[in-house]
Amino acid sequence: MNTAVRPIHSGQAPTDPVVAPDPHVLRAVLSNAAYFRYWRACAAMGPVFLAAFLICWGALGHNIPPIPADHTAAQMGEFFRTHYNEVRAGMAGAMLFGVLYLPWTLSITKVMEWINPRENNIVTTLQMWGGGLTVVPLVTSSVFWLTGSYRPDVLSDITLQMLYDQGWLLIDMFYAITTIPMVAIGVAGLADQRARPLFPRWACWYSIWAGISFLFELLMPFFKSGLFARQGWLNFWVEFLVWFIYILVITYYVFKAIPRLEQERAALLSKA
Amino acid sequence: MNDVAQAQGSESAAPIIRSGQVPGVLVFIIADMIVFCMLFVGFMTERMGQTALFDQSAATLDVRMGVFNTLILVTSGLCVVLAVHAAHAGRREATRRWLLVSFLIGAGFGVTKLLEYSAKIELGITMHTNDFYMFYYALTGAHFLHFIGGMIALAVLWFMVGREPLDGRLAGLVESGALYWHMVDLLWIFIFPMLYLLGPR
Amino acid sequence: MTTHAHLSPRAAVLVWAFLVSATLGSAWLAEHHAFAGSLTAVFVMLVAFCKGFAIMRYFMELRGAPLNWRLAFGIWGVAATALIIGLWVWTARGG
Repeated sequence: MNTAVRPIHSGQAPTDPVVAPDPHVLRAVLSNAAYFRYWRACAAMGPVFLAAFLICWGALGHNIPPIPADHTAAQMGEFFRTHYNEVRAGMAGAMLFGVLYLPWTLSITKVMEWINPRENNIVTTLQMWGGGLTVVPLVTSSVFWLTGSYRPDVLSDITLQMLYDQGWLLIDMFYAITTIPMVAIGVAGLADQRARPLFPRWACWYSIWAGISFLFELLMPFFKSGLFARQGWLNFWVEFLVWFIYILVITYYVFKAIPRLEQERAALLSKA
Repeated sequence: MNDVAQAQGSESAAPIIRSGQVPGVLVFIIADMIVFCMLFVGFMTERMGQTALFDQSAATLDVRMGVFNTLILVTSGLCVVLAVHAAHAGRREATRRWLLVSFLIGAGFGVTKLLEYSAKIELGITMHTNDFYMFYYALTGAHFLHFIGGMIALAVLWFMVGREPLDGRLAGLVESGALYWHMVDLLWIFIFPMLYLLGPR
Repeated sequence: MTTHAHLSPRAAVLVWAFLVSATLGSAWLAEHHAFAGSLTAVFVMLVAFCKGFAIMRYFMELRGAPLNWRLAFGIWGVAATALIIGLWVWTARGG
């Protein structure tokens, strides 16, 4: 096969510009096997995170749906005194699996580095940090619920209520750190010059929209009931489902991108 | 952003939407519209349980302001249509002119909205006053944030058309910005009657 | 590649004129309930649907768009209008 003639980037029409990434991205000294090692494993951490989070944080932690904000302190105290072992287990799991958002983010970053070598790496770096720092609200909010379940017999109802509230206020109101990578992925993906972009345009626009749609959470602290409260159909069900779908969609396209990049890189190296 | 736009380059092209490829911004727009539709249903459902309260509260809204707001947005919408038309014809000055006029007319919406809000707040009416006002502030507030985004888009496009060559790619961006602006208009077309006009006055 | 004509500036102004008169008309109707009586709200929402349809079809130039998109936006318009009217009627009948 004459690799000098066929298009370098998979999915590109013959007239598409051929642009190799910078040496520090290409890392020509590595074989393809070495270069792509761990990448798929990192990408797989997205769905693993999601499943584990749903089980631990969601089911065991009694967070799907959140306990309504208009429950009394007495009800919250009763909840912790009854369900403390489930919550301890759930939160221990959530704090463990929450960190998987980091390797998953890295797998996306690696794809973004290859999207358009003519762009600088600002958007890619923002995505890496934003996604990595998203671990913070995921894990730290869980520590509040964990604290409530640790010694519920001693703490007052009001304190227990405060701890449950605090976890939700953190996880809900820290959305902006996740908005950054979601918008970044979309913006970077839209700059793809390939005839068949690594991230399809609809996925880019969905990612941008999903990231910005978290802004409805701005209303969450103001309401204890109704659609804008933490348990509301909008600020819980819609917002979280939109985020879960985003995780699945992006994971899917990362897995699709990796073999294409393997081809591209192999062709670039054989041409060199 | 749009492969076809790039391929067409500086030919005076039919709008992107004509050639079978649509601006990806439509995904953003339809997603937003779906959520707003859910909010409409939420409002109408809540209204079912508190009809008298909702109608009473709705009667305190200033219909004239609402009408004026609608007229501002549709007129601003007309101007972006003309801006897109000029952009596809490669007429830079005309494009900028229509974008600017659109922005200036649109700014009127911001002014009237702030007047409306301050009038209500002065009367002590906030989003906690009752469920109708919660929806009133949340719906018009969310819409207002979209309006701000649209105004920023218009301004950015005005700058870009002034500084960059008005090729197919930039015309495509103007078209995308215009589509978003039409969404702002479209949402208000439904929000206004639903909040202001459904009850007896 | 299809080559529909642009929405001409003249046609755009005509659409705008329709939008303006529909807006003024439905606001007048809402303030003068005697005209359409208890169905004023329904009328008003139907006018909103027509205005929305005009914006989608002409201003957004969706008439030249692929079927999927025309369906998506068309369905939105019908659904939003039908849901608002439906819930209004259901409420008026005693919820």
